[in-house]
Amino acid sequence: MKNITFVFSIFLFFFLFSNLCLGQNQADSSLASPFTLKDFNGKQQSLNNLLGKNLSVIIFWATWGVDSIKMMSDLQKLYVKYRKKGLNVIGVCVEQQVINDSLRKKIIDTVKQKQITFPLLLDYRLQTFKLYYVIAVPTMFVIDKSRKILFKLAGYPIVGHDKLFNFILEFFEGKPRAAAKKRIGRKVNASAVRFYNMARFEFKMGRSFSAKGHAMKAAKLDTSFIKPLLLLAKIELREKQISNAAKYIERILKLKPNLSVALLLKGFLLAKQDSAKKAIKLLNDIIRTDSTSALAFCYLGYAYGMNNNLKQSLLEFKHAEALSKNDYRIPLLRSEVIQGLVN
Amino acid sequence: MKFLLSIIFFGFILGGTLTTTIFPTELSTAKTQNQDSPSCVTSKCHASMGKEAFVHGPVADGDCGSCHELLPNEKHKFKHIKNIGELCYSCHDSKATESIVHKPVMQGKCITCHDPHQSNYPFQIKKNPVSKICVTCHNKNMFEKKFVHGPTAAGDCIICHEPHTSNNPNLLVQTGSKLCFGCHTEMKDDLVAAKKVHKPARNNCTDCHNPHSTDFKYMLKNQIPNLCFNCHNDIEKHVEKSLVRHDALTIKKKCLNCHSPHGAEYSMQLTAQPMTLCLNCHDRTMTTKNGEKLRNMKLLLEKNKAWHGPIRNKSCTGCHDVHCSDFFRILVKQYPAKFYAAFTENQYALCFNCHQPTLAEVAETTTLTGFREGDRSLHYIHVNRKRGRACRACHQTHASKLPFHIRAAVPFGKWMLPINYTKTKTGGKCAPGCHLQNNIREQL
Repeated sequence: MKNITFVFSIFLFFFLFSNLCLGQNQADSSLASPFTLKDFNGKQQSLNNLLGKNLSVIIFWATWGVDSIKMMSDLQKLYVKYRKKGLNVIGVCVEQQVINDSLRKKIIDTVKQKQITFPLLLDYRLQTFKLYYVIAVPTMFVIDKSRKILFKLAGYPIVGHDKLFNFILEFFEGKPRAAAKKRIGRKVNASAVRFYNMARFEFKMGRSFSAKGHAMKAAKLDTSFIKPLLLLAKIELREKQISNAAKYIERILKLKPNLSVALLLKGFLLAKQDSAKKAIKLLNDIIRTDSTSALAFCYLGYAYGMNNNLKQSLLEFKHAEALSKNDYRIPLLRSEVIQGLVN
Repeated sequence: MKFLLSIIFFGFILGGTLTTTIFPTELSTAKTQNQDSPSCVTSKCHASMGKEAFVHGPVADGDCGSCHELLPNEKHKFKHIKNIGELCYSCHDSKATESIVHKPVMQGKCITCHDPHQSNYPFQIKKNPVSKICVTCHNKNMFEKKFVHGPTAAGDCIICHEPHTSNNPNLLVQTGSKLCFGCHTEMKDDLVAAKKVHKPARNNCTDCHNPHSTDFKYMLKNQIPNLCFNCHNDIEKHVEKSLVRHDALTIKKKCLNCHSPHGAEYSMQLTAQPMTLCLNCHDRTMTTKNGEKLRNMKLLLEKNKAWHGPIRNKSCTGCHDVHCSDFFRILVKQYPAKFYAAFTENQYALCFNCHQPTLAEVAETTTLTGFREGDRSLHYIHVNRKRGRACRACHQTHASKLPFHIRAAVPFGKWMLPINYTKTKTGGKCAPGCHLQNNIREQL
């Protein structure tokens, strides 16, 4: 019988020891041992009575540990925030093996100075310290209402501290909004992006001259960057330099042959360059693949107009309007067609 | 009838066109206060007027009199325009609409920047790029340092500053980082993705960067670490006062060796997990300035899996101050460098930051430590004496192959004295080596 007890105690020792040596951040499925300790007023308090409705954090701390005090202050903030939601923090002071009156006064003074308001207990003989196999302070155990250990951390490590606090925050607030993922794909030259953005701003402000300069720089810095080329085409279009705009569109289509924005602009430019029939063909092809593009119908209407087919032109403008009522380009181009045909 | 009307119409148009083609130097509709006087623009007078790319409306119209009022009974003498702003605002809407107004606008000196007649540049601005006008009043020294911001170099001041009026200080188009993110969209994306963002990056980029020109790379206001110390002066003082400094502070990117100045996934904007950062450099043997050899820590940790608590937490900062300290190996507190040390609590301040100081102060215990013989604390016996064994005598501070990172051997002069710690039924023994047959009875 003695042998069995001995083997069992050796097994227990190694079992607990191995737990201690494992990564302390990992959640432990074991239960937190119950204990009863005196509070500062000498009143016996048991763990079961102190458990929070949802979650409890047991912190083993001591005034001699700088990190202990920091962790106590951090947990106090959490306690204030989530106390009503069912969080309780239980501070177990493991100051020394024997706590005399002067030591007790020192502990109370520290607690007052740090304005700790969560329940605090004194481990007079370090029994709980031993029970929980605490080696270093602070050591925290996060447990649920059934005393199941959900999270364990010793010390005050940067990452571990963040993990502990995120664990508690997630418990009460749900999973935080995931940070936006970094864009995947080809990374555009950062200077080119900046010049493009400057060009975009200038274009918006109506300063085509400056916009053109910046967009050209952007296109030069990153020859595969399509956006400045598209902007350049738009600037040229605004300046009524149709052939220049067409050149930029061709450059874009060489880089990305199926880019719908460029194809649409190409159709529109063809219509402007007296190649209305080619434009009609191209725009009809685009509409066949995407029949929801109001702009395609709008440009098709314009192309029919340039081809002196007013009836079909008005019909296409009507289609465009049905898809996008508020697109200013539709009435603008329609009036251009009507005026052109009347004159 | 229709044909006749068209003939008349075309005749009228053609006549008008020919007039302007044949007499191009004269503004055919030139009007002055006195309708009988000759046009202001002739081949001899004001000949260049209206020839540039952007012409003020009244000039294009030949309506010189709308701004220049002829004096009574004079043919070529005009009233002095006392208040230019007032004259401009008689046609244009006031530009002083926001809380902060550019000084020339406030003083009604529109012609400081705009040519009232014509210019080759949009909005009849006098010079292009617009910065050429700005520097007539603003000190251009601030734009001429070694590294110049893109818009400043391009002379595009108005990409950040409103030329007339704004609700933001310095007539900025937007406040704080929002203004910068207008162009630096890639940085905005990075910060959105980052879990921890440096406060100035979130609020005001100009805390660190000069928006015009500077002598330091990346448009920084000062060189690193001085720039960082502007705010983090506690670290500066700490570094100044300390006896031992981490080399990482002075080599390569200095502070930026470990911290991202904008945003990162880890606290204090560390660019990687703390221990990973340390092992980026400590993955080889190194020699300190004092000639001390530092071990290849990465290799040591790979080969020895019984790690000290802070290492298990991937936190070297548990024992080392990553910046500087007064103790060897930039330890945060005192720790005996040698094998033997007379015991005082202060000697082991580093260990007693986390571990019970009474561990080595109480001779009898059943709870403080498992390293006991009955209720005799063997920690006390080993450490608390005149020729006490330092913690390092038995524990490998970083990692070992034995439980509680106990050493396999102790350097004893030229001999690596084996500890030979083995668990026994009654606790354990360290023999032969330090002891002959002493057992450690663990009473759990």
